[in-house]
This record gives sequence, structure tokens and C-alpha cells, in this order.
Amino acid sequence: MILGAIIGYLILVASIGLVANRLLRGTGEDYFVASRSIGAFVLLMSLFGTHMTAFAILGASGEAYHSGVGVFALMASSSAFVVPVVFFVVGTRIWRIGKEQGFLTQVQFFRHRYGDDRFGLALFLVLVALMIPYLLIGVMGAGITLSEITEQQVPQWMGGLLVCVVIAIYVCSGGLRGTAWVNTFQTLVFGLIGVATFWVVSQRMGGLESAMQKVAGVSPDLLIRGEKLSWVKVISYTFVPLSVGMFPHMFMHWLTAKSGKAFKSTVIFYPVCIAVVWIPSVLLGVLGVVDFPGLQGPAANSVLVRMVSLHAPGLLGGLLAAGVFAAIMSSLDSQSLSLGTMFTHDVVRHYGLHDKMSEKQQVMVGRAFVLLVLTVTYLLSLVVQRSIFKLGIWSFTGFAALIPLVIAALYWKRSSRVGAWLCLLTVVVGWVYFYIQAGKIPGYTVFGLMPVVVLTVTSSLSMVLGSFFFPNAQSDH
Amino acid sequence: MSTKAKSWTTGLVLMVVYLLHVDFGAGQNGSLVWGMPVSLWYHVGYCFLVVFVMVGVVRWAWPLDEGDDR
Repeated sequence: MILGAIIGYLILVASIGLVANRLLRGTGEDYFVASRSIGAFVLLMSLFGTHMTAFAILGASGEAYHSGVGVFALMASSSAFVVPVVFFVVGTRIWRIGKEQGFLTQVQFFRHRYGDDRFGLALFLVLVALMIPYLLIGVMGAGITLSEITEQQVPQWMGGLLVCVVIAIYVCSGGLRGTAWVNTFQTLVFGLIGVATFWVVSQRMGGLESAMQKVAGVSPDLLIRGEKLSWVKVISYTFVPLSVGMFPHMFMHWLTAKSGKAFKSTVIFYPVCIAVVWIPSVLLGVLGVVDFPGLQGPAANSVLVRMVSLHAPGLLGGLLAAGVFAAIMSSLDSQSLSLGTMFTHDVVRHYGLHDKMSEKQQVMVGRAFVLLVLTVTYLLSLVVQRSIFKLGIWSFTGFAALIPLVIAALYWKRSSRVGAWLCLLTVVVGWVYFYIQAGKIPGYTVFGLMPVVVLTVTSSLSMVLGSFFFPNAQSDH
Repeated sequence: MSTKAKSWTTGLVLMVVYLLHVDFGAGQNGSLVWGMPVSLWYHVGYCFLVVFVMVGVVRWAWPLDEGDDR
């Protein structure tokens, strides 16, 4: 039943990509940014689906199992505020400049803004390096989820392979239009399945009120934020969602908007989408302590799967698996396409074949790179250790700390290429230093603050000081 | 109101909303209301507060021109 639901679901999403292929005009702009034709609803759904990973379903419930409802404050309501503000402040302006200048990638924007080819290359390398662990999380997460949900009947390598093959089909055939359509469908799937799972499980436990009373009896500390999640930690976590301002896949989706108006719904309704997905996940994690007490460490990530197996086995288990796959694929597809786009335009076209590639060849090269990215990611997922999940969290830290780059590029005319270089170097050096420190000291913080806060503040200072002391000879903005 | 004044006012409003994310008192209240603890209700309410604020910000201080919205 579970495997049947997953395979049925995967066939369905691959079909959506194949339908989108019929609308493909064969031009680079159509394949890479859907001819900038995406309307308000699909933009909201595709941006939200791209941002939410499997963590929002499995990881959030696992964290809530250990830390209680405070997880919602830490990760959900902080994103509910920060992400729409970043879309409002950064996304809208990037869309307008991208449309005016015909940009398809982040690197093209920064190269043009600071007039420095080597900076563009350095930024490209940093963005790719930060994206690799993020991609690996998706592929490895699919393998682990499928294996756990089917009680180890399906090996881990199979889940990752299935996801990579299906993504390759719909991304290569449908381009960004196909990806946006599939993401819209997948976002609706994992949102609805999360709510349905929560409803069924809480009803089987005697209703939400009664189930939560049981939690209050067993672990009352899970119903408050508590001292474990101090307000300093809560503030620290608000820096993490700043990463959306520098994710290459978010940048790519912004460029697809049909008009500036399309952003309005996204800016307004994003917090509602966050609430709909995160409330069921967090509450189900907390309810898990009643039926499955004593889960240690990462074992709690399977609490949702265990709850469904206990209270609603069969079809709901299959649907939950499909929901988790939807959350994983809706991020992985955009990430692999954005890397494919960057390789095509920032390396192949920029360094050798700028005027020599036809529109058709651009699409072919883009597809080839998407396949390459997925193949390399899949092969890496077979050899790296599970500790890569920790590296994934650090990927967000790196992207968040790069936010001064885009803010200064858009809003500060005096920001200079030296400032941009210093900002980038500060992030690279600081990231490596903090990563090593965190490896040595569990729960590492800097005066109680997460490294992302210190790194973002220092990279901002580097940008300001570099631009102040080494201004550009002539402003090119 | 000038564009600059609008930008500053919007920034100020957003800063106040950001500060409200810290739930000092409510975060420690585990009493159940309709099955959910008050600490969680606070943040669910916060999400909807952000919706209302963003409606105002979009209407009042939208950064793009009319031509961009077509």
C-alpha cells in the first residue's frame, strides 16, 4: 500500500512535467525562467514549496518531541516574518532588475553590479559549495524516509534513486515552468496531507484537548517555550531565514514572476502557509511523547511515521510518505535546476560560448547540467555519512551571512567591489572557523548567540568598511 | 508623504513587529485553550499579525511602479 502510493505519486508528478514540456518554446529564457510568465498563485506555491524541505514535516515533529511547542517560535514564526520581508525588500527589486537587464542567474546580477568578473566566479564557487550539502539532505532524506516508512523493506539507495530519476524527468522536460507547476501541486499535497494526518491522529487519540491533557500530565514542559529555548536563542534563529535572500533557487523563482503584482500575494500569504504546515507537524511531535516516550536524539525524527503507523496504518501511511516525498522534491528540483542554469550561463556561456550558442543549445546544455548535478548528488549520497545533516544546517548559515551582499548591491550606491570581496571573504573564513569550533564543542555558541548572528554582523561590517575605505572609482549602479 | 518618509515609517513598523516575535510572558504559559497551549497560540497569532501588517505594507509602501504591476 505504502510503496504503491509513492510510486503512483511519482508517476503523477513526472506526468505534470511532461505536460509542461508541450508548452516549452525551445528558448533559453523559457526553459530557465519560464519566459517570466508565472502568476501570483503559482509563484506563492512554488516559492513556498521550494523553501520548505522534508524538515518541515519530519524534522519539525522530531524537534518538537524533544523541545516542545517552542520549536514553532524558533523556526516557523521567525520565517513567517523574515521571509516575506526579504521577498518585499529583495525579491521585488531583483525581479525588476532581472527583467530590465535580462538576467537569468544571481552571478550575472552581481557581476554586472560590481563590474568584477573574478568576483562573479568566486561567488559562483561559494554558492555551489554551500548548495551541495543542501542537495544531499534531500536525496539522503528520501532514502531514509522510504526505508523507515516501509520498515526497511526498501533499501536507502532506492529512495534517493527514485527521487533523482523523477526529478530528472520533469525538470529536463518541463524546465522551470514544469518545475513551478509540479512545486505548486506538491506544496498543496504536503500541506493537505499534514493537516489530514494531524486531524486523524488527534481524533484517534480522543480529540486534541484530551490528547494534549495527556501531554500536560506526562511532560508539561513541552507546552511552554521554557528556559531551554531562551529569548537570545529565539532572536538568533531569526537570522537563519535571511538565507532565502541569497538562495540561487529562490533568486531563479523570483525572476519567473509575470509582473510585480504577482509578488503581493506571496508577501501577504506566506505566513499563513507556514502556519498551515508547521502547526500540525509541531503538535504531532509533542503528542508523540504519549505513545512513544523515551526516543533519543535523531530517533525522534521518525515519531510522525510511528504515530501514523499506530493510529492510522495503511492508506494514510502511504499518503504521508507521498507528502514527505513532495516536500523533498519541491526543493530538490529547483536547486538542481538553479545549479544547471548557473553552470550553463555563468561558466559555459560566460567563459567561452557567449555568442556561439543557439537557444536550442542553451536548453540542451542546461538539461545536461541538471542531469550531471543530480547524478553527482546521488553518487555522493551513497558515500557520505549521515553527519552531512549537520553540514546542511551550516549551509543555511552561509547563505544567511551573505545577505549584506544583496542588500548593499540593491540599496547602497556607494557599496564597492572591495566591500563585496571583503564581505564574501569574511563569510568564507568565518564559516570555516565556526564550523571547526562547532565540531570541537557541542552546542557551540558565541556569547550565547548562534554563529549565524556573528557571521552576518561581521560580513555586514566588512561590506561597510570595505566600501567606505575603498570606494569604486566610478559608481556603476 | 515622501517616498523616503514612507520607507522609514515602514522600516519602523517592521522593526516593532520583529520585536513582538519575542514572547517573553506568553512563552511560559502552558495553559490549554481549545487544545493548544497559550505559548503556541501566541505565535500562531503572530503569524496572522504579520499577514495584516504585510497587507498594509503592500498597499502603502509597494516598491514597484504601476508599470511593473501590469
